[in-house]
Amino acid sequence: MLRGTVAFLVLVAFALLGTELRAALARRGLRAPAMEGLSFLAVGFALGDRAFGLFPADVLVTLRVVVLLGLAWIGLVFGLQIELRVLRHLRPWHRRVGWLVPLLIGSSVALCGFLLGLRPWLALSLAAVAMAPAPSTLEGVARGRVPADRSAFRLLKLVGAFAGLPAVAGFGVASVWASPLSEVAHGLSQWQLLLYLVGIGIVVGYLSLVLVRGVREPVEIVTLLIGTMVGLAGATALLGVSALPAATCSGAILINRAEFPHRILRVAHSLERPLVIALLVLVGAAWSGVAFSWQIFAVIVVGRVLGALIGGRVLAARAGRHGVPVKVPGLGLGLLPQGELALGLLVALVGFSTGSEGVLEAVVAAMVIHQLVGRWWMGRHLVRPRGGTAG
Amino acid sequence: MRWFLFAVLAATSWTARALGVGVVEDRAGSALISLSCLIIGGVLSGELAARWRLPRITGYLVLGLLAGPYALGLETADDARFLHLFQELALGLIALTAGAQLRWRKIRDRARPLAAITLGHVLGIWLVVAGATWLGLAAVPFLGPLTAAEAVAVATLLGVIAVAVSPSTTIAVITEMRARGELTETVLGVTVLKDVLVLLLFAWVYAAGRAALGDEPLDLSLVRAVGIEIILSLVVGCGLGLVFGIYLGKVGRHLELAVLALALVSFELGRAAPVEHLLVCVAVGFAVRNIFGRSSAAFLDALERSAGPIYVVFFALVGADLDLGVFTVVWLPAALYVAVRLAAVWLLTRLPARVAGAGPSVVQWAWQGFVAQAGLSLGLAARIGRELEGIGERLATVVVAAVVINQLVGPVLWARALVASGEAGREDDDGRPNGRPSIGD
Repeated sequence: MLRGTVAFLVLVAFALLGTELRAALARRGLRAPAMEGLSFLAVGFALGDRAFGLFPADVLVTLRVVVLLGLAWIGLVFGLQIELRVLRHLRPWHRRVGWLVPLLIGSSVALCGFLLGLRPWLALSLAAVAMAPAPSTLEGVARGRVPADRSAFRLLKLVGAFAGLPAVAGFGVASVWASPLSEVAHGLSQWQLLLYLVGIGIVVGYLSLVLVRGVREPVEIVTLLIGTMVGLAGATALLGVSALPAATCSGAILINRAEFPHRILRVAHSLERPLVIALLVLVGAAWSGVAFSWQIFAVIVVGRVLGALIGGRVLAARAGRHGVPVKVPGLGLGLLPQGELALGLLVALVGFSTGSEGVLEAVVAAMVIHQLVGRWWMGRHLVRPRGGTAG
Repeated sequence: MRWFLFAVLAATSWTARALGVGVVEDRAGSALISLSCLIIGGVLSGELAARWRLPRITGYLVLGLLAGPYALGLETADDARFLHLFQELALGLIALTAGAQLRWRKIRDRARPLAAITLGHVLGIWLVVAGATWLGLAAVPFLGPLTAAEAVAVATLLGVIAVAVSPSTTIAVITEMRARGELTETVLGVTVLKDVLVLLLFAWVYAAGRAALGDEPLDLSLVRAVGIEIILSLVVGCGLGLVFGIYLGKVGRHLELAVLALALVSFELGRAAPVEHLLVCVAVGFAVRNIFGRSSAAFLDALERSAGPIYVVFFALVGADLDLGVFTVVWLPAALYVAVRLAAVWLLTRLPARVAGAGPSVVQWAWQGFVAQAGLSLGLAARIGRELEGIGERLATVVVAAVVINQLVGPVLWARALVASGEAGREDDDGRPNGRPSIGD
């Protein structure tokens, strides 16, 4: 009795202190530099079995359902942002750099992983996580200020909007590679599994499309989408692959085929935040905290910084060739901050594969470093206070 | 087209699991597929029910009944056990809603009718149904030959179970119909009060029944334990309500999750301590609504936003728990039991309401809000079945069969009563606008 109540009181205390801290910082004109998602991981850890013990092992096993649904939902919301109509309107070179820069970052991480002897699927998964961007950080830094270099700001935003796509695609391939069904004993090749993964996404996408057709009530749309995403999460869990890429396919079908796509996007967004927070809290609660892989930490930190710097140079060069000069130095450092998609992919990586001990801790530590460096660079070079001169 | 796709989905998931080809052993995955069928099928059957001018939860219940382990087996018994936590969490959220609907000022104004109907039900229905059962046992000996003491014990136990209602069904129909008013508040108040008193009454009758059936001396420690449990639940609930109210006022963010955390905490408390987790939730809802009046609107909004998916999942799972098979075995005693209970509910609601000076809508329609039975009755039946040797199992079967009927008929009657009384779709006193639905809206 005491355990549960204390845990709830801790949760409330965390929230109250967080609010007070945010208000105090805002009064001094400051913003907390860390990713918001990390605070939920910390809350989860505080509530977990290693601290106050609100989530004993049996409850965590049952709540795995929420984790699986949360991952599918992140994929769905991401897929809902892939509007072909918008993509077609972009200039060809925008599309090219949008793909190329994240691929350079991912390749750099994958290469570092191979060189340091990581298993291929793990190296590929880490590459996918490393590619995932955080457009929200850019917007957060720019809030209340003006861009010092508008071209650089727009280019970073463009890459941020695009990079999720190769990240999720890469992650889909990695998750298939890591599936226990892809072992010889089950008689399924990785290509067959990849086809199943995409197939499930397409079938569920069209099923959702038919189910929500003509439905106006947001609560009914959200319930039906929960139903289809729950099914998708179940099917992919039984195949031993991650639900996120399949759900992305479903989301892409929905947004491009639905009668009122933005109604769907709105209701999907309304549930995204609670599910992501629940997901992070549960991952924090299940965190064993016993392993830290320096190897993976090094792969992510070094690989990502190198990839981002190379990507930044390529981006600046391509932009210059098309008459968009970039003045700020070290553009790639603006690609370092990561957000909830990266955390979602990381959670999926930890969830679907065995043999990923120490990955969560190492990647989260690397993310914090990237976040701090990226925000510092953005604050120094990319934005300036309203009415001020370039920083 | 939608039903066809659902049928294909259900058939595919059923076949895949029946064949068990090339899948990983993952209980969560299997449970999710069941849950998906229940949610999608629940929404579709809810729509169908609405088209037939029935409450949506009837659709959810019927779908669950058909898809459950006792019928088509789209959801297996293993999945049901796995999803039990979600059922409990949903129940916690519904209990929070029930508590939040109770306003002290209104309860105080309607204290007489509330007390009269509650007393009429707890004593009247119990005695009427117990008496009728005792007479019926002689005419239809469905439990086999019983001694006089056994017959009295069985009759009193069935009498107590007849008093129990389903607060979750009551509140779900109120939410769906967006009902406000004297009838709504009186029925809800009596339902919550009865929920507490039935626990006490059952503990007392159960102890007496065990003493009558065996040679054990009358042990009233169970009654004392239940009494302490109720008081402790209310105290803990009010405490948590105060903390939650401070959170609402100071933070006011991520309310859906905070509410879910509250339900999870009360569930954990119920598992680990001598408290009834539903009562804790009712007390929390009541405390937040009545102590933190201003900020409680956001709390109610958060509960309402989460209501749709929760009701589908909860009632589909409740439906899946109902065993249709037992109905074919004991349909006659179950039908008689239902009929006697219905008559007792009708008489012992109208009479006390009239005597206590309740409004005409309460006198005329309130009885229809006390027909549905679900979780509490099934829980009491399960306990009887488990612990009373010999006749317990057969007795529990009759109760389950009766609950199947009451749970299918109850929501329909209650929804019709709300529409007929004109309380469906009324605007809230807080000024929060409601739609004006009719049944099936």
